[in-house]
Amino acid sequence: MQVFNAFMKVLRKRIGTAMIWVVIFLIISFTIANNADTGKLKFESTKMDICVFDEDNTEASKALTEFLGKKHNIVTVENDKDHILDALYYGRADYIMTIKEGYEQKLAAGDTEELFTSYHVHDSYEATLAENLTNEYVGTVNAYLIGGEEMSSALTKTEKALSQEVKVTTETFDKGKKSDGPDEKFFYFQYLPYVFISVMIVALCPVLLKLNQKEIKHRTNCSCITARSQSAQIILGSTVFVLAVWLIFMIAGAVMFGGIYTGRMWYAVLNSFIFIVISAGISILISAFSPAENVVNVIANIIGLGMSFLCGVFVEQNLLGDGVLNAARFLPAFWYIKANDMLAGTTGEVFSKSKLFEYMGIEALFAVAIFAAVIIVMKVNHDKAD
Amino acid sequence: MEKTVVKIENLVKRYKELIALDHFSLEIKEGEIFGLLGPNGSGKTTTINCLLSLLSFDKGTVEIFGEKMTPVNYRIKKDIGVIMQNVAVFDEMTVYENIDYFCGLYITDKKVRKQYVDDAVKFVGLEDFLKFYPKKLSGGLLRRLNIACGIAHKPKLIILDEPTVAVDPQSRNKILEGIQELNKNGATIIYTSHYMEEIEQICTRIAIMDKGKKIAEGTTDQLKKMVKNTETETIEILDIPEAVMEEIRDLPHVYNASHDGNDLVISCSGGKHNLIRILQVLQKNELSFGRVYTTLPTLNDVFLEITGTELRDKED
Repeated sequence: MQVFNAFMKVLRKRIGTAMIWVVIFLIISFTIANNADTGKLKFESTKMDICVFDEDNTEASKALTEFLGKKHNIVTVENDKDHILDALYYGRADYIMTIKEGYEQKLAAGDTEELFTSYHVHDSYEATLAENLTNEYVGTVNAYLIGGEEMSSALTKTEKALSQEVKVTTETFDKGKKSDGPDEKFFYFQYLPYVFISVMIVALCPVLLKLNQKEIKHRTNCSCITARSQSAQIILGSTVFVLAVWLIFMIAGAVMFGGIYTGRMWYAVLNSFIFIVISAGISILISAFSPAENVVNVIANIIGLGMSFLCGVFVEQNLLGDGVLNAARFLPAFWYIKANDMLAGTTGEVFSKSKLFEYMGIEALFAVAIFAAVIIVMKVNHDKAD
Repeated sequence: MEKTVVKIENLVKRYKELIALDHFSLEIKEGEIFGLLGPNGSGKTTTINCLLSLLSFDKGTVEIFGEKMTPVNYRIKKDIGVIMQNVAVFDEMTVYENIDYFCGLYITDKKVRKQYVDDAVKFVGLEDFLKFYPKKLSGGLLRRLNIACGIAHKPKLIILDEPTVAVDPQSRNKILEGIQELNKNGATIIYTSHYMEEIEQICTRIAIMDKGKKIAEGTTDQLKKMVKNTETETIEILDIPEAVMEEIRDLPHVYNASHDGNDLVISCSGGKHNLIRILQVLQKNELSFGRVYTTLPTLNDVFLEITGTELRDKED
């Protein structure tokens, strides 16, 4: 196992650079995970800036102003047309209403028409929202009055009734089953292609370059160790390294998100395994071209960042242009992200096992193609050396 | 009868149009220090690579220890030690780890290996640098480490391909002494170099190569006998009449005499007491002279005689 031991010794000297990537990635992931939106949709009432001119100045008009103040922000604007228009134009107020004189009287008589005048931006949703709210308020007061309540009692009950808030949560359902996501755990998987490619190129590539360095290769080829044994030990070393890196990330992910993976997470785990094999293949392919050692980091950045940006690792695929996506189809990270997006439910693509395995299958084909390319390049190199 | 360790017959190696080895043949006996001398690009390294089956060749046969050498003949490989032109060690391993690694490619028994590694360390004098990484070693020490990695498994045949390139004179001498010691310990050595002085100093037999061909082979003395010039006499003399020059040219064994203003240079071919006879002519004609010295032919003269160009010219 001399070659394997040498592999590990050389790797140990190179692992420092790779560990920087790993640690930075894990810190960032941990930070994102702790601050991330959980992915559940939240609803919050919108607060508008409303200005109220009360010309009626009665108990009813004051109650309405107070009610609006609880729901929205009451702002003051000078009661002058120019100032009002300026306030709307510059966004200092979203809706400006005047409670007309005789408001309470009309309300008591059961007349709910033309109680207000208003200024608002044409067709704005704020205007619709404000009008709906005032209509609802007036309608409710009117209902209580018709029901025989006194004005003050009707106003109190209306205020109480409309202050009740309904708690809203959303759940998505797929084929009768409750969905797992969107989930922050999938976001962790989303960024793995970048770090996998970088770590593999930065750590694995220099080791392979060293073992295949012409002089060392010659010396090893002159020895008693068979070519098959040499290759087997290098493959074993690479496999151990790839598995170790993958396990570190899987265990870190599990620890970070509190326990063993469940449900669809296992598909993401499988997806990440296929991708790390691809990353190792890319690293081996690069080493087959025997680049200078000091160029390896540059190559890692170009391939890692390039593929990540093109394939939607950093920017969601649905935000990328068609041209970019069409080009990205020829890169394995595109299919990795597509599979991960489906699992996370971020793009709205309905989860389907067959689709998922199709994406993973394409990734696996990329892996096969890359390793085939490695064999061809090595063969060409061997022939050239002869 | 001495055993043949290496036998190369009619070796031909082509790189497209270029013929790197042109029907090259060689036989090396057990216990020899065999020198392959030739300018850069003459085919020395190609010969070594073909010999070790690191390169395939178009024609010919290579036998080592009486067996056909192939890339998978590990029985032969275990008895060969290789020290390449460029240092082949791991920068990521210490001196000891490097020697242990390369020795381990041949010797699997850890106990035996430890002993072998210790012997190799002692042999090259790297005892004080065992925990050093190669990058911390000087050029000379690095070359010694390179040698230790190649000989740690105690091979019977050691191939050294220009091991002293870019090495300071002190380290070079140590390396050359080491090679002679390895030979005394029973190893057959193949030594390639374009430094004729090194080859002359340590090799028992030499083959001179040029353009992929063996142009001469023999011991140093045998090779030097191939040259017409056996000695060159140089005498410091300011002026010499043409009549005296003619008298010198007529001396037996003198085949050329010239005067360049300060020195009288006389080339002789064979014979004894040539210098005495020349000095007698000068004394008889009452000509005073300064320093007198004799130079014997070198391998460069052999190369010059055969190829028409100097060995050193070709290096450039």
